[in-house]
Amino acid sequence: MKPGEPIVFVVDDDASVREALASLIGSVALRVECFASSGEFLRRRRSENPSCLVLDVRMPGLSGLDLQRKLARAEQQIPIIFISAHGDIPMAVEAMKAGAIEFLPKPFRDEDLLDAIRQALYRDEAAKARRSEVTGIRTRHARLTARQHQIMTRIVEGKLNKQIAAELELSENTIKVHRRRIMDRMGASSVAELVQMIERLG
Amino acid sequence: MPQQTFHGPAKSGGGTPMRIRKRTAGAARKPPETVATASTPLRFALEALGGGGHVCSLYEARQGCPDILETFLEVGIARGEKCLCVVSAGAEKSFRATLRAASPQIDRAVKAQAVDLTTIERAYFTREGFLPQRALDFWRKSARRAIAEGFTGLCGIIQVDRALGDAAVLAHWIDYENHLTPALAKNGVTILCLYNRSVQSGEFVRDAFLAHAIVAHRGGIGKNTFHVPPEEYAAPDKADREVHRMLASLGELWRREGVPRPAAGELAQKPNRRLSPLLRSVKACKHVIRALADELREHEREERQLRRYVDYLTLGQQLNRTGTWAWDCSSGELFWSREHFRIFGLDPTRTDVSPQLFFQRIHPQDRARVEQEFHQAVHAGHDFDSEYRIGRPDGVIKHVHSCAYPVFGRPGELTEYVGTAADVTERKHGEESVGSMQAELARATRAVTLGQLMASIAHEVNQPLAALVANANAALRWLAWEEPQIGRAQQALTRIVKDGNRASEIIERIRALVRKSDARRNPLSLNSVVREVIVLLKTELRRNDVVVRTDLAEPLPPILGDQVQLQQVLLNLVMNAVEAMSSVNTRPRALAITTASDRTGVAVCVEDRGIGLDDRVLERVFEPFYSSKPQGMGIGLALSRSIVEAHGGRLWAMRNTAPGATFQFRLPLAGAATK
Repeated sequence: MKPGEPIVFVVDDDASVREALASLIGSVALRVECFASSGEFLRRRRSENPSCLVLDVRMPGLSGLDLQRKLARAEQQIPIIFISAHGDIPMAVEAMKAGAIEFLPKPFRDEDLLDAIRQALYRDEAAKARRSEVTGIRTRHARLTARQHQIMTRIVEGKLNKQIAAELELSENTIKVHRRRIMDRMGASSVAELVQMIERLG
Repeated sequence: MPQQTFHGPAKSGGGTPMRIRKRTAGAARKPPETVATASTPLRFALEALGGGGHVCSLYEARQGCPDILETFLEVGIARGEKCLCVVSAGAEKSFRATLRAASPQIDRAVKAQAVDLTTIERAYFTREGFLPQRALDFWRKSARRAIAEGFTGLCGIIQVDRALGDAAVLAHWIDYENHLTPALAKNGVTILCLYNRSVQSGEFVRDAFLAHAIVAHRGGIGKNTFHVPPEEYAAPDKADREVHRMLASLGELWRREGVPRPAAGELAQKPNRRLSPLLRSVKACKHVIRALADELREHEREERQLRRYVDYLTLGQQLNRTGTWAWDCSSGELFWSREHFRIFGLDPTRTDVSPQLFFQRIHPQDRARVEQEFHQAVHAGHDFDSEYRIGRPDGVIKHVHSCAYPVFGRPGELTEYVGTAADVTERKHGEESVGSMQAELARATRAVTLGQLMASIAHEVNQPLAALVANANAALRWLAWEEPQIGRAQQALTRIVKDGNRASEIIERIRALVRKSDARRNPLSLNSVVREVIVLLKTELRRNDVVVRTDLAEPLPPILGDQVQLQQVLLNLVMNAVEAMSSVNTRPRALAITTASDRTGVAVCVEDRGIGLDDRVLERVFEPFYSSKPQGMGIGLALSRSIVEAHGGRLWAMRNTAPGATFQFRLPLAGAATK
């Protein structure tokens, strides 16, 4: 598997539905992997490639909703598209609240499913990118000294060098040197960018 | 002349009278004119005389023998008496000819040796000539002999048609005649004396005539009013006595006009001896007539009674709508009661009933079967029991239930069939409407069950449809590639066919369950019923986490049944089992369905690991409208049981030794199921 190649997982206990979905998804040149039960899917090693999950709601053993909850608890975010052979509104509401991309009643239009898959993969890719960006910021942020951390917090709050120097009883020049070092370490080209980074860390 | 005794049929005498009587009874069926014309009152009178009469009849040569001879003999024969005819020597031949020509009855009696013939000379005369005592002894001995031979008595005929001898003989003869009457009364012998006036002197004939108490003349018979009792005959004051007698006979005549009659008691008190023989005979006649009248009245009463019984029977048959019939096996004749005709809508007076007509009236669809059943019953000599439809001339179709049993004459000899034919049309229609109501209820219950299963069914149908749509789209997309992916598209199309078939199969199964259908009995395997139901309930079972284990006997002999109805029974049982396990979380929800067979039937067993049934529930679980479930209607099991029983089977429930309950039903094999 090429790095970064998207992959669609299908979990449905009905073999004919699995085969049909594999063919349909395959026909748009997407990589598909099918599983007959939730358990089978959980046993598979996660990959870093963008992926999404096409999941049947009603299955013996662990149901689709059960699997959704279990993944959420394990913080294994993967966009989920639910498919169900009978439209059960409370079930759909529960699934959407828990973050499902789409809830499609069987039988569904192929565009609906494929659009949902594309959207899910895009989201997953973005989420994955976002997750890796934040991780970088956090690493850089952790490398700041205690003094630099003090000064950065006040820069983000929008305070001037003079105000910071007064608060910390340091000279204005010292503050300027620290500011340059902070910007270098965090990889921020402007104060605005720095503010954004810190906001992302939450 | 040597003393001759008459030669009777001593050796074979025992059974003879019986035989004669039988024949006499047969002869009584002769055309009435032979018996009933002039001889009838005569016959009555002679019959009334009973044993012990002494009758005189005069005739002239040119008239031939009088009628009374024949009647006299016939009455005697009919009474089972021996007849002894004494004729003048030389007249035997002509007399025998007279007897033969008289009547077949007499002829037969002659042949059976119940009539004997001898001559006056042999019977009465000795070397010494005629002795009255000897003549009387002759009759006494003959009577005893007749009794010894097995006859009931003796009746004698003396035909005097030639001169008997000199004056002494004639005097003795008259003396003998005079003493014969009391002698006869003692011995129960009846004698008819025939005198030919042409060959005797007037005095002799007159004296002989006076010696007889009863006289037959011109086809009639009556008291001889000129009779001289023997004790008076030789008395010296003959003329005086004669006047007295004549006056007395006038009184008789006067009394016979019937003005004031002595009371019955008074009459009975008189010593019998004092009653004149005529009076006795008249009295006897009256008795006979009264007895006849009584008998006639009794007969009429009986007939009325009989007619009433027939009326009651007819009414009863009408109320019961049950006719009776009888079929004579040897002649093939068929008899129908009035109600039988009514049921068949035929007029008893204008219908010639026959087995052909009967079979012709049977509905064409039933005819061959009934004919076969009937002939089988007759062939085996078994009871006949059949239900069939008949078409009446008025176009009405009736349902008839007929039962009959064979009647045997001698062991093994079938003589007739006697049976009933009941009009069961109303009952049949009732059954049909109950049947259709039940079918309607069954259908409604199935619909309710299917309603409960709706989610499962939708899932079941949508699954192949989803696959089908996805495959179709996939195929289109594979073909839309710049380099069309024919192989992939073909695979998708193949899957489409499969999915389409799967969807239609499911729809068909559901449709079959809801379809309004009459019960049809086809040979089918309960294994296939089990498999169908499991497929239908697959989703429902999965949704409820029920694991089904089947253990189906192969091969399973077929039963006769309605596929849909039996599916419903199993559907109910499985759904109940699933529900019984819905609250069970501590053990696997396991359901076992097994089939088994033996020589007589096939059994299906549904065993669950649910909450089970307590005794109270177990008792009532098949009652209509009883349910142990909060939402239950109490119809499923009651209906299931009625379906199974309509198939000639049985459905029952039992507790398991392990947790849960077992429901089992058993149906007879296809060959064994009859009604």
